[in-house]
Amino acid sequence: MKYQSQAVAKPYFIAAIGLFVGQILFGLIMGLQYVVGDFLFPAIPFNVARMVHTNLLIVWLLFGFMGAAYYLIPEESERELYSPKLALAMFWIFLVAGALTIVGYLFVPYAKLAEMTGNDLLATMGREFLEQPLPTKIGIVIVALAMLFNLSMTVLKGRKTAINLVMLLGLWGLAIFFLFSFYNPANLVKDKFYWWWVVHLWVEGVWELIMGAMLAFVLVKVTGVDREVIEKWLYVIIAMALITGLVGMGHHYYWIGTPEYWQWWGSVFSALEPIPFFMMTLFAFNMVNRRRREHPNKAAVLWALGTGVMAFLGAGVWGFLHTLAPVNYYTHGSQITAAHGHMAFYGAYVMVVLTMISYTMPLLRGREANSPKAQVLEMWAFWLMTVSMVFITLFLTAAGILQIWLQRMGETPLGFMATQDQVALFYWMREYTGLVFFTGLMLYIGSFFVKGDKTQAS
Amino acid sequence: MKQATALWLLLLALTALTTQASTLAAGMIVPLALAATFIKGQVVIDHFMALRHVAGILRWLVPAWLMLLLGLIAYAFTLNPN
Amino acid sequence: MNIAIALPTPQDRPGTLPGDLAMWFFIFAELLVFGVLFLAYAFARARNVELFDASQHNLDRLSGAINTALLITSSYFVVRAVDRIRHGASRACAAWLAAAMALGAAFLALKLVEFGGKFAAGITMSTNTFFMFYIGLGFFHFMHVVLGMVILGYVAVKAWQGGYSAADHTGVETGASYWHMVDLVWIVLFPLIYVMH
Repeated sequence: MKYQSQAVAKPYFIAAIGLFVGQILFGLIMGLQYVVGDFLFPAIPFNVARMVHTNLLIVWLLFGFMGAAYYLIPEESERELYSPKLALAMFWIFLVAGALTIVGYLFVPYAKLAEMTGNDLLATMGREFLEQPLPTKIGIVIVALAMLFNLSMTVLKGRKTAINLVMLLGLWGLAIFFLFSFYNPANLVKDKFYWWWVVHLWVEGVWELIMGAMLAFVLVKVTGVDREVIEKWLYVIIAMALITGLVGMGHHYYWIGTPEYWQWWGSVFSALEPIPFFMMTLFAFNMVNRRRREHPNKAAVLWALGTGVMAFLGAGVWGFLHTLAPVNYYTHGSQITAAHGHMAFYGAYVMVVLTMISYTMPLLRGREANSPKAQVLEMWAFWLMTVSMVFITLFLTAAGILQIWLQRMGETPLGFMATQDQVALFYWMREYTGLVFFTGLMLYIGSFFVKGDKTQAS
Repeated sequence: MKQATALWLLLLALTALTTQASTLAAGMIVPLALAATFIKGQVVIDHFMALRHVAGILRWLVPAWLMLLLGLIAYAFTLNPN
Repeated sequence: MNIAIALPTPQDRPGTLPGDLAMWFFIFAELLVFGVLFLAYAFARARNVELFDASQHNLDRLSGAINTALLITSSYFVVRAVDRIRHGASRACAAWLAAAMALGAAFLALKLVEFGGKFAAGITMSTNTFFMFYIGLGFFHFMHVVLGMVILGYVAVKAWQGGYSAADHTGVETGASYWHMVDLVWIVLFPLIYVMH
């Protein structure tokens, strides 16, 4: 850690990991509800568990990005953060608002929650990922603006690098697209059209900038390869990500009442979305192969390489599987989507945040790298979580193929619920694998508490 | 630079030819336009992009792109919906 | 035609790609994107030849041809700009680049007039599949011309300020390579959409 103010990243990362655990617990609950329908009913109905699972994911990733930004921006700008106090205040506001929101989801019926929080004034709730009550949404905007102000001031007064500019651009994009969550036209087609701009223009657009910047930052640090080389790659990757991602987002517009041309533009451009992810894979491996130093933090290098591979598989390959309009006609909204969603979020965004945490946490705690013993445990966690996520994806894919076959093809298609019974075996296997993932997560947390001899000198 | 100027004039002439091709007999338009496009593309690739000095696979990627693309377009134009 | 000896070697490291390798990865990816789009057009046409031929009849072929000439000429100017900087003439290099950009701007203006006429006639991407491609592909290429001009502008300013030399001008070659790609793509686009039927 070169600058004192980078320390504000630490609470953000701790909160991120804490919420990650919550997300996985609710994932396990829902996973079980797929096969044991009345599990925890009526305390936690399926729709609530699902809402908490997805919202926690988004929120903890945001915590991760913010923490990463507060660490990365001062170091890249070569100066202290404009206002560490503001960053810390925003942390508490965001955490309390997030916690209150989740408590609201769990203990107040959703309609009642909407009524209590002024949804009558400006109706924004009730849409997937955008379930947050109005005060929470406004809180997110305030936190984001305060963060952007803080970071932008830091960059403006400091050194400008490709990495901090791309990171900042990504975060600005994130905040701007979130504003569409306040736009809720009565026309359902329009509503859906802009709804996709929030989370999906994030993951297929601006988050890729954030991801690229974070990956580049860690690679500069752990490989010692010339910044110039790494920054060039970063530019190429983000240019491709934006070209393919922004138009490729049209693959969500096939069947919602938008003009037919989206079937063409969505298909062609989204089919090319794997390119930037593939470049990221090449980028990560290429840089590590050309490394000029052996960084003692082996775990961080492993996470960085893992991100490259898993993002390409999850976002690239599994996305491509069902992105073409004629294929999507059958697969739309099936378990194939769930399979893609799990591996893409894990491979791209979860892993890149964990890469960043893995690299920065030891530094925030005053050492270059954790003890070999702690790193071995962290690597075990890496493999358990990653391999189990691969299997979760495979089981969901199998469930999806069977579901499509039984429910949407053939002479006598089955109903939705009858089909669900037929694919229950895969849901059980997914649930068991989810427990393995949870074990990996526990080992990961355990790795922070492993003592052991100081790291070997680098 | 003289050669570059000559090639530039060649490209302009081929463009004029391509544009006029549409007034030809139906069967001639596609072959003529594709042939002119192939030559134009190859001139740009070899001389303007200066790929002809490049060694190895990278020299051939763009020409291969052009060849494959024009070949598939030619094929698509022979297809008949009936 | 003995071309091989005519043009001076436009780079100082024989056997490698002119300009930056990272830019070439971007160019390859861009060519792939355009290639897929062109083939989508060609095979969509094969399923609906009559509609495509009838719609193509409404296009302003002369406008397309002039635009082709503009881009080809601007590409040629960029070749001259690279030649100048190889002789260390920074200002001349910048002047040729500025001329190339002026032609790029003319391309954009003409394209806007052409699109304006179509929109005034009530044609949109929803009119039919042909116009969907005509407008969509045209707009996508339009944005590439804009990006190319931004790159050329950056290089031109840097050249004018003496940021490149006869020994070190990778940046000029990098920008030039991108601009030639934009030209190459249009060289295929023009006959495909305006002429062939």
